[in-house]
Amino acid sequence: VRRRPAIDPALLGELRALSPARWLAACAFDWLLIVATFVIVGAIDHPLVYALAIFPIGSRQQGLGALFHDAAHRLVTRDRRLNDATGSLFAAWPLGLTLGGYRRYHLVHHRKLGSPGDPEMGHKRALPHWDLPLAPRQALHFASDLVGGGIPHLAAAGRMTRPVRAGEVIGLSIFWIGVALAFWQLHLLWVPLLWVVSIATTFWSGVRLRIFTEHLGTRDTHRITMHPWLEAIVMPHAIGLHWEHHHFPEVPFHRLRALRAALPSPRVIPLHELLRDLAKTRQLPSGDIADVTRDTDGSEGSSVATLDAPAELPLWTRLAAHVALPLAIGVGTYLFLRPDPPVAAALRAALHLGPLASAPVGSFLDVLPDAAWAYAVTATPLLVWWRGPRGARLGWTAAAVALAVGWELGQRVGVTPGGFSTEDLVGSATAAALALIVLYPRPRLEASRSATAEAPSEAA
Amino acid sequence: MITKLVSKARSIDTRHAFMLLALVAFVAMAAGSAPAP
Repeated sequence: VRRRPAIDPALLGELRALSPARWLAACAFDWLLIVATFVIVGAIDHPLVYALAIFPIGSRQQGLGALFHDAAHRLVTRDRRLNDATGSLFAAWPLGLTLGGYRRYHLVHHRKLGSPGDPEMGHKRALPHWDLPLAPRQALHFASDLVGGGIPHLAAAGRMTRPVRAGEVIGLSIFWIGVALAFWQLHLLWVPLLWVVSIATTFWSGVRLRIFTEHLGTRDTHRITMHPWLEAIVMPHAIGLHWEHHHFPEVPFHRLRALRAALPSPRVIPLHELLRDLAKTRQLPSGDIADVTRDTDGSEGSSVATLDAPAELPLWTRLAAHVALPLAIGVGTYLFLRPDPPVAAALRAALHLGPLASAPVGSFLDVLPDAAWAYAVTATPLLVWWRGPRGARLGWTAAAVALAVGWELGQRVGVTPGGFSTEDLVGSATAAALALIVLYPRPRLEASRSATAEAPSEAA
Repeated sequence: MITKLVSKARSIDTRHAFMLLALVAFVAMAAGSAPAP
């Protein structure tokens, strides 16, 4: 049982007071920045600006995520129905989440923190990106997030937080169908599209970062601080005050700082110090639980709890994420964002979409479809041969990489159709390399499974 | 002879066929999206 830090009950009473106005003000602030971003992006209408917009949008989605999290703890208002209606409409549904589904997952995380029953550990084990000590390779995951590498994580999170009531499914569906229809009518379909792309890229990237800073290498919660600007951008609305939140989940986000001030120990450590510390721990596979960082009273965890690993994502889901989605992004870019291919112009005319602003040659959007294609080509054999003989996997992957990169090179010498550009070549090669980095290593999950499977036969 | 061939064909992993089709589809996609000369 987790020991709760001692606090003056009268003070705690004050800190527990909810303020719907504070929640709504924070929410309005986030939405104002989001609307401003879309207005600016639409006004400039340059491909690069569309691409860069995912950063401010993703940051404000983090803000909404923090507010959604408060709503899940029923910290908007004491009126439960009003709490859920407000939280759903302004924070949960826009992020594709439901309060009930998230509660079922998150409240178990609170109760079972640091134990094998913590559902967060299941995620870390199924998609093992949180090995300790930290390695440079883990930084690459943030880059892969920007081209949709986080989709499998979002899919897993979506399953863990799937709605619990039919009413929630209906609400979420009506919300998104309404949004899509409204923006379609306004000829602004790029707005929800960019929104969803931001969720799948920068928003998830922020969640990934928080997973490193919250409970990694400890059975408890790290008590961290960081530069105010960094905090405002990546961990807004005090979502980084996770230690305070876990010990006093009844305190709303806007009073967590006051709560921190009231609790002098344990020491608050700067984010960079935690990351340095995480880079020096003993080995701890992603999803295993032990106290291995210095802020855990210096006590080295002895027993490493292990979990029954949840089933790996099915092949079709992974193909959807790593192959179909990049292809859809590429096709979407051709159809909606790049004016030059005649097929795209004809399709746009047929769909009454009208011509779009011209994209400068050599821009990001010229490279994106080629890069997305190269990623899909390389990812296909890696996933199809995820299990099975190493030779077949290597052979098909080599063929795929040869196609992904060779197609553009072939254009250089006139063997393959299309115009050669160095940017396309670099983009395709980078995407193929990214797919290799992300998908080549088969997780140790299988190794440990086969090891345990072999153990009894050795004994016998 | 024929049964031998059939059983050999059956023993081949269908994923090879899938990969072949997939790569052909990828080539078709790349060729189809190339702007007309």
